[in-house]
Amino acid sequence: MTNGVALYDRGEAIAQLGGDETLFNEMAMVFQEEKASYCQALQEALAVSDTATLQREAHTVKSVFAALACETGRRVAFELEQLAATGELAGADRLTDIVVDTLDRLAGELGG
Amino acid sequence: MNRIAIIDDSEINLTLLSVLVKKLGNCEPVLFLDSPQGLRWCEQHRPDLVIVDYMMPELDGVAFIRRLRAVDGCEDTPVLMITANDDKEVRYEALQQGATDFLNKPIDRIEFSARVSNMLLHEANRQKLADKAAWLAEEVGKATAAIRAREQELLFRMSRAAEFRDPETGAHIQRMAHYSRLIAANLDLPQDQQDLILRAAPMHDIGKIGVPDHILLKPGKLTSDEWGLMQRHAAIGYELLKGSESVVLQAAATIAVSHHEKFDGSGYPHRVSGNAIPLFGRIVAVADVFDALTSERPYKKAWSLDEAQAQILDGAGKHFDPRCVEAFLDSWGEVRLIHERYQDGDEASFAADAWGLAVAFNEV
Repeated sequence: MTNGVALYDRGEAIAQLGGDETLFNEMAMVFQEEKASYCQALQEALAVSDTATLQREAHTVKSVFAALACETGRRVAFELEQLAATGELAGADRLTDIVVDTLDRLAGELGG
Repeated sequence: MNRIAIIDDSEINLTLLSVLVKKLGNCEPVLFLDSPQGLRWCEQHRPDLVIVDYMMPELDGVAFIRRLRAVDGCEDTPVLMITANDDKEVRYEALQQGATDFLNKPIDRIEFSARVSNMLLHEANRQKLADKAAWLAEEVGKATAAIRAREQELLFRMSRAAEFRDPETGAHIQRMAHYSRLIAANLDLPQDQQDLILRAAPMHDIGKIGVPDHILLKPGKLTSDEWGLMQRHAAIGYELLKGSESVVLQAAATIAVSHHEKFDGSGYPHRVSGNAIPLFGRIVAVADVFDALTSERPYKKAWSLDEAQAQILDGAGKHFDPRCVEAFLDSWGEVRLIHERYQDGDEASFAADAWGLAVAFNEV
């Protein structure tokens, strides 16, 4: 939660699931389990300057953010995906840091 | 129970899709994080529906669909592609490769349920139609086979009708038909042509129906006028058989009118020569004469196979097409087998065996 504003829209996320709160909780749990692997995949791709993998991993994370109605995370992941698609890495480290940070914070909010 | 393969490299998406599929009822989700593994499963299990992500490592959604469509039995399996990508080019390519429908991320449960249910319903209806078409094809096949069997039975009985007025025997038409097929096979004619000549050759002398008994059954030598009347059987046979839509009767008509023509042009009824004589006529000429020579008649003894072989060989290029003679003699062992197998009094087995007739010959 930033300045008292939730990082994700719980109501929207549950509405996407037809109001199924149990399913949302199950997805949140899977997210907690998978979050570390998302961060690791992004950072490894950046470390070896593999823009194709970076693009794909950013795309995956973008859809995860979207599923959990985390608009902030979705936007920055989309930006990273688009940058990587150009084959350019200038600015990719900053965006990757933001994506990883957002993943961490979202995990914190979902777990709290 | 509908089996739905779900392929997505994200665990969280698999979880979501799996739960949504289960909630549809009567559906069993089968999950794959690895797309090549999912493809292998589809190849082996033929799912009722496939849900596939677009962006995946190694094998992306578009490549997956392309490979799936090449799998026997998965050509028409409905495929729902899930994508966060609004790029129209991606969608066009996926459609080109065989995607059935798309759904955007984040997945909306209501929309997902409606789309998947509709696709499953459509697939079930398509399958019903396919099953019905297959059933109809099978029924048509059975009916066609029954018609062919009846046609063959009628042809066989017609051939026998002609023979009852002739000293030649039922075994003669069996042997000469098989000799004819043997020659056709050695000339590398296609299988359907080999089968056709086997079926049509027995009617080669059906025109003898139109030859008066006092000529057909005359024990002594025919006068010149009588021989002229006897020769008319070729043209009579053609008149009897021509103009049919049946390919067997068409072939039989050709054989009837041409099997007494000679390669050097000295035969009858039209004295045509060489390749102007239809191939079936040239083939049957060899088979018919060989069997006539090796058969006993009221007016002659049967020649030995070797004597008849020498006679046929001597006629190559004169009476017979040399290629047909060579094709006949090339399988001398099989000629002997046919000669031994089809002997007088054994017609019943031939009727059932070679023509596939349900009616045994001795019921005629």
